[in-house]
Amino acid sequence: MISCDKVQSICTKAQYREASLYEKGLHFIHTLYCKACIEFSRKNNQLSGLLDRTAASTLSEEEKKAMKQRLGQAR
Amino acid sequence: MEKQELHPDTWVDRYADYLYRYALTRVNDEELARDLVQETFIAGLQSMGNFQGRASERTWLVAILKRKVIDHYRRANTHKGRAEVRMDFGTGGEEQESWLEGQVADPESLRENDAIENAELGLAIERCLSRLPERHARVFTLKSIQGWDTEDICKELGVNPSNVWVIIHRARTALMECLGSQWLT
Repeated sequence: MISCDKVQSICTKAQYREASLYEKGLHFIHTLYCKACIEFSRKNNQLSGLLDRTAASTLSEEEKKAMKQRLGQAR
Repeated sequence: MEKQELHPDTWVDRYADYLYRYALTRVNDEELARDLVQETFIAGLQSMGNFQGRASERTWLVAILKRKVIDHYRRANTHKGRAEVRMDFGTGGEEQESWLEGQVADPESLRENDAIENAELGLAIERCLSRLPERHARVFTLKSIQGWDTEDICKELGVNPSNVWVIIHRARTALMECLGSQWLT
């Protein structure tokens, strides 16, 4: 039987779409009966949503490049 | 405590997003927030001689940014008397927009609120990341925020993929705990 630690690691890999089909199957079966892993997966999914949201409040690469240029000129 | 040093070459990469979010939560204007961050870096460069190395680089830059924000509001307040208030209760008849509909929240304004909340969230995540071991925070940032491939992270940091996943998993678990009930339900 697969451990909760292993299932939760698979859940993390799945957040980046890097879990294999086999791993996803293991995760699915385990979360049919394990409440702790269901809860972990729910929060892990939420965290991914939050991380996507923060991407909206970052400077673009162009803006950073422009900042570096102006900083370089000021030196 | 170890004496801190300044590395202006890395300021934009290391602190621009953090300072931008910080500014955005205080001025609620993306363009102004960007300008304030730029001014902060230039002011930092000009006053490097005053840095005594007792605070971290980021803390020192945030202190400069705080002053920039205060200066901005001081300047804005000097123009306060010039503001024009116009209230229109729809006296122009049916051709004018319904007064009631006119009071409905402007979707643009809702988006601005989203921007502030996202910036606050970004600050909360950065604060949580700063509690992680530096290597964990770096791996997590490369993967989750900058969207690097696992393979590229392995090459850059000289670790194997299993290690990357262990680090990312630990970082995510720590973040979930740190963000707690304020951001996760």
